[in-house]
Parts: sequence; structure tokens; C-alpha cells
Amino acid sequence: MNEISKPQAAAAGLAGGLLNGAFGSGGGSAAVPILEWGGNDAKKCHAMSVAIMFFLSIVSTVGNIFLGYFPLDTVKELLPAGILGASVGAAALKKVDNDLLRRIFGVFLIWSGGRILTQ
Amino acid sequence: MNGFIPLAAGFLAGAAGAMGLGGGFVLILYLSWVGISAPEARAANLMFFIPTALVSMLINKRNGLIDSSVLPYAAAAGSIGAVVGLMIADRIDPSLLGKVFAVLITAVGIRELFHRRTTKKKQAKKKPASAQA
Repeated sequence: MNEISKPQAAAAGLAGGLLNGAFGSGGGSAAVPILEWGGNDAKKCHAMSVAIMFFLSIVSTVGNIFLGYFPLDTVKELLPAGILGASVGAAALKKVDNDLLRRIFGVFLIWSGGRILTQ
Repeated sequence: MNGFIPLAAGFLAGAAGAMGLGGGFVLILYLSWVGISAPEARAANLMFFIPTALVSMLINKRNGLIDSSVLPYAAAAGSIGAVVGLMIADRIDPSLLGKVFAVLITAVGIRELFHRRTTKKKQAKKKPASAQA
């Protein structure tokens, strides 16, 4: 199995950061394909994408606070279910088939893109 | 926002986010549906992702899916990207930005959906060994 290189990780971070900063989401849609470049393990790329987005979300959240957006009450209400979901999702990531993961990701991206375009 | 739907939205967003499958879209869709403004929804999504991603990272690290040696490079480059992205979002027409983004993720989605299967080859290689045993 190939390893994720440092320039590849930096490129994934830069692209993911741009999208996360501009749209508030979608960083992973750029980071995952860059990390997968060269035949890297899809599960590892998705896990790394989550880790990268974790750091970027902190930066973007600080930026949003400076811009006057701090929706703590909204987040507090959703968070307990979110933490439970994250535990289940991370456990499932270890077991899911790499090709199935990529195809689910593909369907999800096409659906999301189509929805934005038709809005 | 009381009831089953916010719980389901939070759970789905957390699960999809932890798998790197775009939990943000789920949450932003839900927040838009309940009438929260787009900038507020974007901010809420990013804030929601911090603790949920932390939980996911800890589990993924334990499962050997995180390569910590390259993470600082991604975080440093990504921080620059995030600041530039925030500046862009504040200056460019959001509908145009959305359309560009939609085309980009649709193209990536088509590539992911129709990629050549990789695990089949590995199984095919394993078959003769198991047949011998």
C-alpha cells in the first residue's frame, strides 16, 4: 500500500481549507481525491481527511467568530446525537469496503452537487 | 428544534462526518430547512464538526487509519487555505460560488462513483492461495 506524502498532505489541506473557509463545508470533497492520488487506501484517506478538517474547522470557526457568527445554542442542541453518530461512523469506517466507500462518496457528491445546481 | 428530526440530523451528520462522507452537507441542509441563514449554518456546521471530528480522530487513530507524520503539513497548508477561503466567501457572490462548487464536487463524484475496482484484484490474487489450502 502507498503512503500519503508530505506534499500530497499539504495540497489536500490547502484545497480542503479553501473550500471549508469559503463554503463552511465540502473540504473533504477536495481533500479525499488528492489523498487518494497514487492509489492510497481509501479508508485511510477518509480518516486523514477528517483529521485535516478537524484542524481547519478550528481555524474557520475562529474566523467566523471574528466575522460575528457564533451559533453555540444551535450546535449544543445537535451535539449529543452528533457525538454518538461520530462514534458509530468511525467504527464503521474501519469495516467498510474501500470500493464501496468510494462509490458511496461519489453518489453523495453527485447528489449534493445536483442539489446546489438546481436550487 | 425539539424532536426526533434534530436528533436524526445530528446523528447522521456526525456519522457521515466521521467517515469523511460530507457530514457538513447533511447538517447545512437541515439547518437551512429549519430557517437558519446560510452564514449562520456554515458557522454552526464548522463548530459542530470540531468535537465530532475529535471523537472520530481518536477512534481512527486507534484503528491505525491516521498517519500523524504528515498531518502537520496538511494542517499548516490548510490553515492558510481556510483564511483565504473565508476572505473569498466575504467578497464573492455566494450563488456564483455555490455553482462553481457544485460543478467541482459533481465532477469528483462521477470520478469516485465510476472508479476502477481495486479490491477485486486483491481477491483474485488471494484465490489461488486459498484454493491450494
